[in-house]
Amino acid sequence: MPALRIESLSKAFGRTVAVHDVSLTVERGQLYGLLGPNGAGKTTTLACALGLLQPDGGTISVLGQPASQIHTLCGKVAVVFDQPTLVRGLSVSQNLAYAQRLLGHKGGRSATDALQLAGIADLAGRRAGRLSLGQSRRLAIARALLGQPELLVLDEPLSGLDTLGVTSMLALFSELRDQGLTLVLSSHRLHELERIVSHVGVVIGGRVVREATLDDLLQGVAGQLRVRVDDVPRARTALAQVDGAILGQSDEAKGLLRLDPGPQGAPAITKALVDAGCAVSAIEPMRSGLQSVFETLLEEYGPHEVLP
Amino acid sequence: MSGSLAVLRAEFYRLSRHRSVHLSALFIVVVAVMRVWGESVIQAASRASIVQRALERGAAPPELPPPNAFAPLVEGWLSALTVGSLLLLILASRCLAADRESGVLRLARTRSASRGAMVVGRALLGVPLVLGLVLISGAAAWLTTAALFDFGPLVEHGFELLSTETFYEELRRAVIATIPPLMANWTFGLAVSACARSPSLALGTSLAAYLGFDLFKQVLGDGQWWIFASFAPSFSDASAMQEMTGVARGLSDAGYSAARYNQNMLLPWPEALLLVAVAWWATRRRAL
Repeated sequence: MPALRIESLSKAFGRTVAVHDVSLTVERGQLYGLLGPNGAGKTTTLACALGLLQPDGGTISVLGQPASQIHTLCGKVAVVFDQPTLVRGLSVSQNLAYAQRLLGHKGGRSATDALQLAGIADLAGRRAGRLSLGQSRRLAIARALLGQPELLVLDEPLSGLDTLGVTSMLALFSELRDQGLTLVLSSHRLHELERIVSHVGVVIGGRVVREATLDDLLQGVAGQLRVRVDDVPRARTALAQVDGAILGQSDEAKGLLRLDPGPQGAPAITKALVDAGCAVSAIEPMRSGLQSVFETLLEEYGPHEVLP
Repeated sequence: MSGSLAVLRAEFYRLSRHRSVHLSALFIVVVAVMRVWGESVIQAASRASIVQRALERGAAPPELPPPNAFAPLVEGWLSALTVGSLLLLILASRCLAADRESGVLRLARTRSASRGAMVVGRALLGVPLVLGLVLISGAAAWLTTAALFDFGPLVEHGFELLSTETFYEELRRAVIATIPPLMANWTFGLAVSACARSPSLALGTSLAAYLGFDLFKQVLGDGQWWIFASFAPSFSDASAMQEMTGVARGLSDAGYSAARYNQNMLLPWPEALLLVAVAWWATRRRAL
């Protein structure tokens, strides 16, 4: 039984389609990254999965239960929202005590352990309203760790954190994964996520355009080139003549095309383009990182601008 | 039901530790104390005036009976209940809307509570709050009255108008009659909170409805008694406690009739249930 299974999820707000036919599966023990640009539908997907939004269509199963019955799981699902959702008038420890009462039982990880794990044990007496954004986020994570969660969903958990904060948070996520927790992270912080996630789902324009293991996803772009020219059709014709070159997606409007240069490499590609009379403004190897995969997918599927 | 109880426990914990709730309780105590003290000043002034008039006439000062505690106690208690009912409404009308805005409802939803449980738990929170309001305001009024006045039968010209036993029995009935409308008042705030788009809109709407009804309820004539708010302590008051102030002064025509008292005890409950249902319906329909 997967920790989270979403099939053909659709949700619209009035005439605006937020997500359309989204399907994804998170198996137990995975550290799953749900990636996408702002407004791609990540938060809507998670909100539907957590029973906070009523979907227009599709089925959702969370630890074997439909999303509408998520409360019957007695705290096996824990969520850290993009906004920390703290009770600002209460102290850090009181916020945890409040959440523990909401949980309805006191088994599992205690408030003290959760605070230590999140690295804010020394802030127990401080009012939540006086915490910095990073501290608030840590408190929200500590709160999510109370009890015995099996699935931890984190929406943009790294935003607002400084470099040290990000590093320690990533270490914490890895540690939790090692303890057997299933984690779903929604984020657009690709460089950081690349260090820890094992599986990735990429959401663009309200659709999941790719779902794979991180290794499979990165393998797809290794050694590829991205070329910017003035005349894409002419460039495609010229490159088709290069032995071993495999043409990929292209965007005539932006003058971009992607290709595997084959054994002859970039020099042969450059020569073929120049010989064909194409004005080449850029030719660069695609970095075999999550960022470049993401940019490629954006070029391929997205109406959005390519991220810098 | 366990989800509702979890919400009730969590919300009670939160309120019991919230500074604004402590300040509200303190304010209620201050209102009760000030009202009783004000009553003692008024009575002292009245007695001084009687003595002064006698002296001006060249007569010996009359022997005045000791100031009676009944009226100050009821006045103090009623004043605190009036302020308290308004504070209850403010608290209720903010709770769901503010928690939705801050995301606290989302937390509850993903931990243990269905949408229904979030509403029912908060509705049940009205019980300890209303009882707490009645007890705190009563204790403050009683202690201040005991410090400033003598408890004893209400006597006028040597004639006992009201015995201590009768007073306490009438007071008990009036205080109990205050509880159902205060509970309905709480659920009204909750329903507005569930329906409103923002906490400030919820607060404005509930206060406008509360004060608007208070101002114009006379226009409804006897029809006003079909609405729970008529029985709740308010600024234009017609509650059982307001009637009790007349009883405490020995007015023979004060107090609810048996039919009106029964209406007071029974009518607010179905109205409160209806308001909880409205809050539940609105919360089900909203994105959290």
